Amino acid sequence: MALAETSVQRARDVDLSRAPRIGAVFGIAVIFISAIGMVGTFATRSMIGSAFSLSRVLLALLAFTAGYVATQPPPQLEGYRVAEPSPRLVGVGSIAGAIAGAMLGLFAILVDSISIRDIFVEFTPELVGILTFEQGTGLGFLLLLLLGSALGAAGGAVRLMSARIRRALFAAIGWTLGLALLQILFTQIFNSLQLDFLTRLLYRGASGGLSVTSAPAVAVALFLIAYAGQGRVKKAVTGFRGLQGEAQRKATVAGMAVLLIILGALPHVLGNFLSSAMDIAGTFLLMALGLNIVIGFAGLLDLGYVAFFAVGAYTTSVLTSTSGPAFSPELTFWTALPFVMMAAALAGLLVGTPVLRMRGDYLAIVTLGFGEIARLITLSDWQASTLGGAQGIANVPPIPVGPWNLVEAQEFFYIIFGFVLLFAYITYALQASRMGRAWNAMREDQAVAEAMGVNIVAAKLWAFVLGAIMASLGGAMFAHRVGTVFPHSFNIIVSITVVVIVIVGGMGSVPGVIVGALVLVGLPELLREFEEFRFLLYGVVLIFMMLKRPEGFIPSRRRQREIHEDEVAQDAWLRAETERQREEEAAGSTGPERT
Amino acid sequence: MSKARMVAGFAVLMLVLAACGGDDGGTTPTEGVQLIGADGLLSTTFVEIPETAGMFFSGPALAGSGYEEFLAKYEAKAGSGPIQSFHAHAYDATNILFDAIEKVAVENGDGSLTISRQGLRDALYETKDFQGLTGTLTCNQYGDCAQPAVSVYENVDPAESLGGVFSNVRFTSEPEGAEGKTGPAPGGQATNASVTVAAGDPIKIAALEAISGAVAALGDDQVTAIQVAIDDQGEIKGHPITLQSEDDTCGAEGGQAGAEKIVADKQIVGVIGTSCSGAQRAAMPIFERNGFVMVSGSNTAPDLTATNYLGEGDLVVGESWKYGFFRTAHNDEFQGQGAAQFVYENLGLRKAATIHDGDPYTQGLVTEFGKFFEALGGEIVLATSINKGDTDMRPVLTEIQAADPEAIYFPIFQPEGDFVVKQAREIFGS
Amino acid sequence: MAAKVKAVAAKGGLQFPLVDGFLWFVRIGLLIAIAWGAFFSLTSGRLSGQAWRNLIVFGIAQGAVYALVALGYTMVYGVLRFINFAHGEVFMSGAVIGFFVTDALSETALWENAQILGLLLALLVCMVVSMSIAVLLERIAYRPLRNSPRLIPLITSIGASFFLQYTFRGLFGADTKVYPSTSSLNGRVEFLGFQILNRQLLVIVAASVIMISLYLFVEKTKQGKAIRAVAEDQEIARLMGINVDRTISMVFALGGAMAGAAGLLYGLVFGSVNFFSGFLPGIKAFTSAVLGGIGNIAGAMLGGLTLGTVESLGPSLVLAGLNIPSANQLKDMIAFVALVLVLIFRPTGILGERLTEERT
Repeated sequence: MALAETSVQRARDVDLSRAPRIGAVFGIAVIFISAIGMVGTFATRSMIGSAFSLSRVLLALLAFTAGYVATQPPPQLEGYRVAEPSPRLVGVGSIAGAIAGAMLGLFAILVDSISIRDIFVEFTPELVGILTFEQGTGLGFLLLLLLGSALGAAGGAVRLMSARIRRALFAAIGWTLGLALLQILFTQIFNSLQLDFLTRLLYRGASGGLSVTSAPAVAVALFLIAYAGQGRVKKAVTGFRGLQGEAQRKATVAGMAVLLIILGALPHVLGNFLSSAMDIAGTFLLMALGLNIVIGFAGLLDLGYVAFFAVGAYTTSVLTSTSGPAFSPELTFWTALPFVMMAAALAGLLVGTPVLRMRGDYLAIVTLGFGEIARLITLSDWQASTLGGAQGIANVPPIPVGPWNLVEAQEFFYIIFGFVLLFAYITYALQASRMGRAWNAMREDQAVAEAMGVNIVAAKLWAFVLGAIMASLGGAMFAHRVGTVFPHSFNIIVSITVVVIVIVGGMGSVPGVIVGALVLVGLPELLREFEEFRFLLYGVVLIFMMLKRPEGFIPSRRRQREIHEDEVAQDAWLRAETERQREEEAAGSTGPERT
Repeated sequence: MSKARMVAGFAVLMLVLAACGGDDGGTTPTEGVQLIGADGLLSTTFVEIPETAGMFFSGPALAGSGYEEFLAKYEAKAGSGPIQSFHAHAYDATNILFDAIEKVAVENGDGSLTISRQGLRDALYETKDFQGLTGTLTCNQYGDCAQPAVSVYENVDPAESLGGVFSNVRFTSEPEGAEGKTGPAPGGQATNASVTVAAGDPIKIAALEAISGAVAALGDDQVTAIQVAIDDQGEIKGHPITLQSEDDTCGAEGGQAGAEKIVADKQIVGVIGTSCSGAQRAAMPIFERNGFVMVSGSNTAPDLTATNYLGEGDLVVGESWKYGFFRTAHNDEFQGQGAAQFVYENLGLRKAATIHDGDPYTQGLVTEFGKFFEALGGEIVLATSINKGDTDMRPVLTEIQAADPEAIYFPIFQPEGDFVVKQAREIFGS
Repeated sequence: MAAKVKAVAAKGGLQFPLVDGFLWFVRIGLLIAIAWGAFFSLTSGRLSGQAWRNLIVFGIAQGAVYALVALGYTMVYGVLRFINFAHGEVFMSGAVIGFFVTDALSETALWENAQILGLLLALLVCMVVSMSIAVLLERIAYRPLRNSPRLIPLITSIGASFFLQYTFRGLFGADTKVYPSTSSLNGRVEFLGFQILNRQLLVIVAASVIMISLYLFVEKTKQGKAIRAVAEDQEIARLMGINVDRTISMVFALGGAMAGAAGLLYGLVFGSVNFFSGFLPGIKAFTSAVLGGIGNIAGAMLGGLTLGTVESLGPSLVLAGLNIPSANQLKDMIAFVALVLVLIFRPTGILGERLTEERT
């Protein structure tokens, strides 16, 4: 059977027909973000100096990416030698970028000439001005064309660099832009670590972004760091994973200790506003850890998770508030906690029992229904005497810890992340337990699991009950942090956000869920400008992740194997075949060839 | 249950319903029922709907002077007129804050200003007879600064839009004994904090309003009004004024997050906000703890300041009262009472139905209305509610029709208000 | 039943009988509550016969809209086995585009003279736009995921739903769009003692026409047969020479067109739409599809009508009779409770599913 070495055919280094196609796709993308208002809204946020607003940076990035994607090497076919990238790539990239730029220019001309502002609200003269650099549509079109092709060329040129340089370059650009965008975060960190000079050095004013001098300097510095540090991080991680027994245990304990120290110091470093953002992310994280069990372990898609959140919040509010509607025992958080957990368990049973025999999709819709039912009951006039109705329940006291009351966001941080650590530990314990194995079996094939003796009913009910308890604790935290509970806070958006965190972060994986919560909830709190487009971005991220990486950011190994089981099977087959052929050759077999 | 049995059962049910029922209410719609809305519907897009002709609206009394000039400046700034009705209150709120700052700021030798936060609080509580767009403002110890009067307007001609509505005042309430009524001291902890504005630096104030989402119109209006107020003021003791605008998303979480962001900047002297009472309840504790003052141009929930203005005995401290909160918008006790009085005395109607939409503001308002209407001797034949997002109001209007009211008070928002008005015309006739 | 109990008890597992017992208890309790509430409502004479008849008509009109949208859900589920959450936004796109078209038309002479013709034109435009959006969606987001576990396209459709909602918001603004007044649709007719507004009649008639055409299409034509074949087994259909990709695109196109029509009808009946208008009707429509039996076209129609009437009658009939205040606030709750109950006691929906055995 012919193998790779015998062929001398050379592959092309680039697929020319891609350039116009990719250019058109990115052209649509830049027109899209202009038409929906991102360009207009972000024009006021300066990233680097006064000339580079966020919208300019975004458009530039898109043009650059057009060039980069257009020059993607074609898939490596068996029997072909991989081609070396040639300077042609620059030309190809510039074509793609030019097309994108030209489309944007044409769009600007269109907006300028026809007045359809009553229909498309963003097609304003201001938009034209931003797009054409205030130079009028003719000159603007030329500028966009040239800039687009230059940036696209750069995107192509980047392919000529070695992989190491390229990765370092992307890291440098990414981190520089991150520094500019998350100015609030970094300013706060630098100032609280007594590094005020860094703040003054890097940034222009309170929200002006990086200065024109500091940005390139920072980029270069980061590039050097990234270049030098490449490979080391990966080596460290593999090294850690490779440790056995005693050494691994020691390393884990050391790692835990470092983590705890960082968490302990974090609220003081972050200050009040950022701690508050972390508190919100932490509340969602508590819920996500619970939903992780329901979806990630047991495989039950629950779209009405907010119901349990509401149960926890309302139970604790009714029991602890000083101005509760009817029944106001005014307990403390800790004395109310057992009741919260009992109410949660009951709710879990109530939701779990009817759906025991339902199929996946039906389960999703029915749980969605339960979520809405919960919200409607808390809102209703019918239950207003106990639950407050539209007015909600006010004056929920803060959580007492010893002699102190946890009132400030920074203080609250500790208790939330205390619970996060507890839940994470519980999750790991469950994963290794008998129940965890039962869930795995049930998730992979329910009929077979049942035949093998796994108690499906118990497994499902336990999943719901545990998930409910965790969500309810999150709800209780929420109620005590905000001080009032309104039914409007317990809507379906919350359920879906938690589902997105679990799925995009990585189903069944605790680090994945943590990263998911921080990125999907923590980040939007910092980037308030994006608030209008938050759900649009959620949608895009969801679609993108499902198309490219359905197992999530940081998947659990198991899930990854499950989702890609076809590919895993193919890989295994290929490996086995290669092994077999090698053995045959080694044994000098001349038997009948098998394909 | 077999398919056939289920379908048969369902059909039987339908036939039973179709055939039976109490006495036939006739086949033509009943004669007209008076529709009354509130300030949530005082917006240009609503009053221009033809079916709203002849509707009444309870809302803020614009008893002061200078509104036309203000409106001109507003339109110059925003490019179009205001959509909702609390913009003038935001203007007044900003101005009493500036007034207080001017009284309290101490000029230091080096050109800087020192503003004591406690001094600012005291100065605001002592605001007396301040002439604003909305009337004469005097703040009491609970933070209510507005004149205790509301007006009822009529939409005579939808083509004249909001301006026309405001010019057709049909009633202005005069709650007796409410002005000057007093009660127990609410308490509150003093603060030592102060703000030092360096020479040449601006005085920073913040706005915490709903500038995104469905109620963005309310917040945007207020922010524009604040900006007009800043322009009009110019400078305070030689320092210009800048505004930092935060979003309260008309909810508790948004209010809290916005408040955290504001108090993180110790240079901010005072806050104008919030748009929605729900956000206020979460934001104000944070402001109170840090000594910040907040003046609202649109929070109307009674329990934020004091209640029992119109009842027997002294005022009662509001359950959510906080030290340092003031408002130039009226307390909803007055609006409920004013609307009830209008319906009972001016219109002479005795039977009313109410609809709220699950929003704490609307639910509170219909509760107040019901209380006062029944105290006057009227009857609330049906108090019901819809949900935000509902589009088919016909079932609930059918229920209301069965209760046979003479007026319907529905202080809700758009677009639910649109549906109620249009579908009520179908069911009740015009 | 007794034998089953013995068998399970012998295994040592008492859980199932407990669960079954609990569910029986729920079932009886609910039936009693419903009968009680209905009895008191009817005998109290609070609502006249005419009022009850009106409520039924409202329910049917609302249900017709749900049914139209439900058809799209049920067809997509039939062929691809996942819930297309974005379908509600396809409906919304029809409603919003319908606004722009009718608004533009209302300035022309056509509106004055031949309003019905203008409305038909608007219907055509809405259907085309929604159809295109649905087909594009399938091409870009769902086709690559044809062979993934069913959870993945479900999540993608949630993402697509957000994306469409907020794209429309960004493009057209967040404010409520008020349809121009359509005088030709005013007035009412009488039919067997039922009073029906012309608007509602339009919705019911248009929805019926569209649904019957679809039913005939799927049952009688060759392409319809192809759809049914692909719904039954994609691989075999491909082997039989059916172009599966094209068939699936056609399914989305049909569903999208109907959702677009439903959107315009919705706008005409209610008069105001905004970018969020598709969310709740989308959930209700999917509920209807499940209620009637997913994968079953007649089921989607029946489910829609059932849900509409339950929502309309439920508060007045049952809840008010049980003396629950502000009963109309809870109409959504009734819809969901109805869904839960149907799925517990009749897991395949009212008319049963038209699918082969479950392929998870």
